[in-house]
Amino acid sequence: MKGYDGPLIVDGKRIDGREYDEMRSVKLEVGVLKRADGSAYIEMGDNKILVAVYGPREVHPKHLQEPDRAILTCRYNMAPFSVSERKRPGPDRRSVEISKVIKNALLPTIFIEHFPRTKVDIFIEVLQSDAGTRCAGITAASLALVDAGIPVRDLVAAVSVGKIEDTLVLDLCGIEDNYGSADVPIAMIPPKKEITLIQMDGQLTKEEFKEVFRLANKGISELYELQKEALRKRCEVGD
Amino acid sequence: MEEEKEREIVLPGQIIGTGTYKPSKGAFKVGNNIYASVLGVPVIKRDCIGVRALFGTYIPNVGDTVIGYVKDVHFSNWIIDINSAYLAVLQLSDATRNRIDPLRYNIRRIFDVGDALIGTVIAVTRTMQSNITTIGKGLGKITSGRVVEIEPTKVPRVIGRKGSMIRMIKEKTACKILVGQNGRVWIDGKPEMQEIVVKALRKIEREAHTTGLTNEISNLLKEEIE
Repeated sequence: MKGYDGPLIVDGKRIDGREYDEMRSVKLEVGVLKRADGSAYIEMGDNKILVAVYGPREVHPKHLQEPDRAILTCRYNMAPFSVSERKRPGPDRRSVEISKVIKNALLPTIFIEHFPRTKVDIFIEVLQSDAGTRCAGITAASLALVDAGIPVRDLVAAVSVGKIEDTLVLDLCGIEDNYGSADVPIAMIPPKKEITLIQMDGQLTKEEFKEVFRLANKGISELYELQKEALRKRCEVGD
Repeated sequence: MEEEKEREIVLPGQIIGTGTYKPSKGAFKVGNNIYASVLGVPVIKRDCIGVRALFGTYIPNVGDTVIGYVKDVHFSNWIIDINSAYLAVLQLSDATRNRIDPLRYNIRRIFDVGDALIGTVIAVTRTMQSNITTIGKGLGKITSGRVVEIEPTKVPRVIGRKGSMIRMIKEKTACKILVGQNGRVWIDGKPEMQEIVVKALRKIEREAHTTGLTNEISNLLKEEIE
């Protein structure tokens, strides 16, 4: 990935052969961990992410508990081997921020008031990373919550839209992310088109921003179908 | 009474009914539509529609029979672990019909830390503080047999339609069995028969989603007993 200086678009196709509005291939699996209350695994292109959900369970230390609702904690963590240059293990400025935005992206869908004085933990472990891990993490975490039996209003799906060589494209891959000029991760509750996360890196015009939403909508609807399919599959398999 | 659509699975966010129904457990209402909030099977009970969850932990409900372990003993009450995110309280007055003065009598002689007991949930507050009682038929301390844990969401499957599954297991193994709503099962009987019951429970837990399970369990019991 280091020192790529070739073109990002060749003959109207992107470097990995995709169309502008084409997502990377997505594989979703629910209920992959036996010891967790809920779990999910996602492969989105070269991203490989494992999510575990625990709870509702008792809160420790006790003073953190809320008398009228559950508290949600989220930990996004990248494995040292998830990137080409070894990442120093442990939380850093970036992963603390991502943990927080993922928590806020999922929180509006969860009926936290159904479980006062308890806690729900989400652990997102990035095993292999290739841009868009926070989006893939949200998509999988939403499924893991359902697998844990936690009542939710709906699923959440997320995808990033970016600008490379003045063209807007759906779901950036690693090289596009590093050498592109803008990156906008968006998380949405698909049927209601409610946005629960939006961040932006780079600059876009107003018109471009509208196009970003059109592309994100397309990607998120596709992801939503895949999520539902993964949940149905989980029911067939049982354990 | 309770009507169950034939094993049709609904996903969270899916519309399961309209305004003429009221949402119950596992469902919520927005505008005129009722949506599922959990993954499971829709259940219609009179004018209420809800979803029986396929996954999840146990949350106490009034009227549930549960099996708990004494976690702590206080001056006139016990703290009971009921396999949930919430602990339950057993008051001295709900534990025995006898009038007992906790000043003169050490209530550890009734239940001590680690004791297993069968109780019924009598009250659950909005903050999920729950009380249980051990006064009643079949309730009280467990002094024999064993307690095994299964997934709480698999309890209805273990009991079966109108108790068909559990009745069959009881008859064939001559064991006393009590299935707590919190996923703990008390089994009492001949040790070798207890083993068979545990085997059957594990099979039900594993294959809860399949149809014709009662027959399969019947065959398993027949084979094991011979």
